[in-house]
Amino acid sequence: MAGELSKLSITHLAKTFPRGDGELKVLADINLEIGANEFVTVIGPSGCGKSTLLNIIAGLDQPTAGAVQCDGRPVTGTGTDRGVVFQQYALFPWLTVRQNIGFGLKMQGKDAAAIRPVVDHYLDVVGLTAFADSYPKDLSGGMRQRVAIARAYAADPAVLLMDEPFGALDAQTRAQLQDSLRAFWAAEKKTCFFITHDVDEAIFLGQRIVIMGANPGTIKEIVPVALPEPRTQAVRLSPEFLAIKQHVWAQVYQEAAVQA
Amino acid sequence: MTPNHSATIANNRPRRGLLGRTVTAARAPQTAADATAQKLAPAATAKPAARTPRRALPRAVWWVASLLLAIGAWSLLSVNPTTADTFPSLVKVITAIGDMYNKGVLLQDIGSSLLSVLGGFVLGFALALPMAILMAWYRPIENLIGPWIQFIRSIPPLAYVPLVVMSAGIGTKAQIIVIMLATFLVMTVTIYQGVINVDPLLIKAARVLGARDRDLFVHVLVPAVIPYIITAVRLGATTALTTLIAAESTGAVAGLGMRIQSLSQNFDTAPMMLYIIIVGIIGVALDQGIRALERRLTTWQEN
Repeated sequence: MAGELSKLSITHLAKTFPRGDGELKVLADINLEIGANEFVTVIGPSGCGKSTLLNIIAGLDQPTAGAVQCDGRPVTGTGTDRGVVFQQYALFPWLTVRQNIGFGLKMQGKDAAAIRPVVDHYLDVVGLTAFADSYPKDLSGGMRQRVAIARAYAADPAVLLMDEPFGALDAQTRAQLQDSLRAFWAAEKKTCFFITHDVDEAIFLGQRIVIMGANPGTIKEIVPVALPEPRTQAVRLSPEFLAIKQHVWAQVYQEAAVQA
Repeated sequence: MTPNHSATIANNRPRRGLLGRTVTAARAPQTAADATAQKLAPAATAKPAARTPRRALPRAVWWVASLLLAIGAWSLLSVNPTTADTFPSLVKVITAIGDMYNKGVLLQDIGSSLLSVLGGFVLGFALALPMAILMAWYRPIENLIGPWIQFIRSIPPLAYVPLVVMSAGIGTKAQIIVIMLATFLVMTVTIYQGVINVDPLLIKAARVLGARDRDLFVHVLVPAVIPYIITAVRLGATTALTTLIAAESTGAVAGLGMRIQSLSQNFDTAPMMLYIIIVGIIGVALDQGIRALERRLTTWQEN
């Protein structure tokens, strides 16, 4: 698990929320090391605290105990070394596609001349050059999420945190975006932490799958995904893929059954 | 400020045509752009290009037709014996323009009323903007002041006009104060809604992209609230005009509302009608001006 190359290091992390007269344990003793440029997917039943974990890594939420380190530095708040892609796109509706993608660079104080070529590059990569001056309202859900991914990439974080980014999309668009994201990642490596509730997606994208259990949220198992790279749609039908799927599904299903 | 109540106000945001019809063809079809994008990104499913509007009569034709209809209806009312007294013939109303102008009161009345409306409105807005932001950001201020804004807002201005006149005296000053108060109340409530409705997800998105507090204000809060500010301005302008008539009802020396009052006492209906029409024209002109501003500032809005 790439000890010396560790990009993200999560140690004894716990999170509780006050609830009524007691407290709700959302995360308990989470330990996870993620290597530089590694693609990790996280799967678990709803309520297992995976979004809370992502928010803590992003610096949008604080842990009750334990710590997150990014590049050896403790995470205390948001930082441009960690980008986030949200399920609900979170594009700024008053900005054009071009302005949305350039937002992070603008916040970092870059001038227009420096921002333009970067934005052009990412517009091209996500295939939205023709929509550079459109507003988000004129884009489909899949296109909006492409913009959100481009926006996160353009700000050039070392770590990309994605919270069920394709969860609101139809199956076809989802498969296409999985392809693009994987190709994107292969071309410009980032450390990816990708939350999903879709077993196929977790296997197709991840180099490792973190399976979480609920009440409180813990890491149940970490499954390595030894599938050939680069990943193509054909890999989904390989015996290796199906074997992993069977295993992961059993784990997740068992957990869901415990819940219900 | 109860959420129920606020919802009503938020829903008031009109993004419609003159009489509430959706304005079609406002969005440019992007057929060419669509085609290119499909080629670049097979996954991209673009929205279908805007439907070409059905073959329709030009706007201007409808306006002329509508005007003719109104003139026809008026003419009928002015010959019908029971309504003839209230609806003098249009010719009389039009010649009243000359009469009132020659008496030297027409421009004076319009000028005086516009001064009160603009003065009260500008002051009301200047107070409403910071008050709305303070109320949205600081709970104690909302809790202490919010209920009173709701309370006073639900009182028709006509009821408290005498109080203002008693303290501020008769004249433009009292009128400006009444309009300022009324517009301040309605605009505060609307802008407040806008500030508390800013999507927290957008704040988060901006923060993870490196936005500092000042950036959040300039690049997220302000643009997110602009549609509400424009709605507030429109509601404020309407309120200013309706309140004006109340404000001028107590001892103004000039003004459209005051003149309508004094003419009505003499049953001088032709110039009275003229003045009523002028009030209407000012109202429509204000509304159209604000609409034009809105189209410029909020092209990005979904509708």
